[in-house]
Amino acid sequence: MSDPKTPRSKSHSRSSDGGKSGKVLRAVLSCIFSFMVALSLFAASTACIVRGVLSEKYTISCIAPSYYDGLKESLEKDAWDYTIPTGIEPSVTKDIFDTATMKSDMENYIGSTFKIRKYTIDTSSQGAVLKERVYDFLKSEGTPTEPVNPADSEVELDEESVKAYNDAVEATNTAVDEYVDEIMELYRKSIKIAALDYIVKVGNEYQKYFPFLMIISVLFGLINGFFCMKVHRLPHRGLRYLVYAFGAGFLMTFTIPFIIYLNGFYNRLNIAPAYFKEFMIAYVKGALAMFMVVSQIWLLIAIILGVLVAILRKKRLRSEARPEEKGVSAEDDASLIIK
Amino acid sequence: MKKISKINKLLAYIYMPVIFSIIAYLIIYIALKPYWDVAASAVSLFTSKTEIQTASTERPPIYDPNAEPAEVKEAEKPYIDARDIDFPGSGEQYGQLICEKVGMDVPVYWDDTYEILRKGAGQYPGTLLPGYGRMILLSAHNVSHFHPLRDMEVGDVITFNTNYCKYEYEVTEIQVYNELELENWVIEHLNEDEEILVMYTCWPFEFQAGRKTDRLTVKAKRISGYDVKWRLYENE
Repeated sequence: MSDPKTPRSKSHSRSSDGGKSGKVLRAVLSCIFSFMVALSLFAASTACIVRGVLSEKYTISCIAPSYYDGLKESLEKDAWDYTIPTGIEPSVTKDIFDTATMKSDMENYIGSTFKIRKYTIDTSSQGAVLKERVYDFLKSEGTPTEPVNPADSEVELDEESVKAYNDAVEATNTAVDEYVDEIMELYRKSIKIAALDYIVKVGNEYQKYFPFLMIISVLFGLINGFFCMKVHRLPHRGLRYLVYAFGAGFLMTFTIPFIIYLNGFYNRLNIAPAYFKEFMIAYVKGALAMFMVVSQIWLLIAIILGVLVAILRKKRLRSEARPEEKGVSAEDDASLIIK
Repeated sequence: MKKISKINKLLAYIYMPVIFSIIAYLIIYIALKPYWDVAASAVSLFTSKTEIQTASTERPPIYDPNAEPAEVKEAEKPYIDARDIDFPGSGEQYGQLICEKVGMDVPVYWDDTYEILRKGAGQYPGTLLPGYGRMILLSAHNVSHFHPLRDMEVGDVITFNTNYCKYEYEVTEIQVYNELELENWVIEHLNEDEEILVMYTCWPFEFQAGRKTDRLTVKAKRISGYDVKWRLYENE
């Protein structure tokens, strides 16, 4: 056993590691591992958020109730524009479509698109109502809508007149059918969201790679975290670098989305109609909010680890009466940045 | 010494994450630089520096029925300088078309989109304003704003109010054209130095099976109002 009054030589000290160069090496390695942990945190959070954004649930959540009101108004205007030149009273299309049905159709359409399934929007009931209104209007205008049967007629009709009459009725009925089909087609087109097919395609491709991205990010983070701790003999020193890592993870995940949020370029999107623009704004804003929320988790962990570092360090210092006797030099106990 | 060490440790909790973040963003920027310009160009295609107005956005009218008429320049033939006229933009109401005899009182807008035709008469932007000595081509729906055209007769007087002057036109011809015939006629007479007000709408007014291809066209010549001088080569 060594004489307690004789200072230990560095070669007998457990913390002996080549002195200053060893400390610098430990610091450099710790920084590298810590940086890698920060990168893996950023990668993991980005991967998760992108997965969340390219999903059916998120897409539906971005559709505000006002979307359907705007859609209904736009649809009625388009129907009016289509109806006017025909000579049909444009009020026949008023309130044909209700927002509850639109919402249901839209959610089913979005769900089917994400599942790569075809969804047929059923407009049979609205079509029947519209047809009835059109025929009521035509009857009020005295337009013949039913063929005549000479046998049922009280007046004798010649064959040519009957044929001309029935031809006109058939043309009217065909025109009405075409008109109703066009209005229903307007509705079906309005339910579809532009670029959704593209989002679904990208999302589904991404879903294939997502598990690998997560596993790689997590493993990478864990391995680097482990080595970050291993480089230091005392746990609170290794933990300090993990605090830097989580702090960096917070900054990386938070900063750019926050800057974009402040810039607000998405509020100046040149897209119409207004309800679709609001949907796109909500979509982008929601994604940015997710980044900012997730980043708070890293910040919270960084704070907890920081507190843990302080506790462990205090515990360590209290347990040492004289640091030199325990073989831990005062230099070892200082942070990298001293001097 | 111990205090400095403590402060340094605390500061490290701030600047180390900042340094890591900067390095990470630099790496990402360098890695994605080839795609950055493409992405930035794509985003700039869909955004503007300020909120833009589209044709679907409500624009306030420039027409003001109480506006002071434009200054009339004294000459052999008095005229209004085109530079004193506030030329309308797409979707802006710039005038009012009135014919009391048939009960017509229609706002007139520059351009003829679906949006505009819901609100009033739209002017084909390839024609010029009243007073300019050229064709003025207006269209509107037959069930709404141009419904009174069915009651119009040759000799009826139509008033066209604008901010700069009040013009009157006398109906000279009412005819039903096929849409292609009308188009050809317009092309043929578009650049003639004769001010003619042409109003057209779908024909017949009643329901017709199939798409309507005929147009009821009302033509009127100017009978009052000042010329607008707009061609630079014209001598005083």
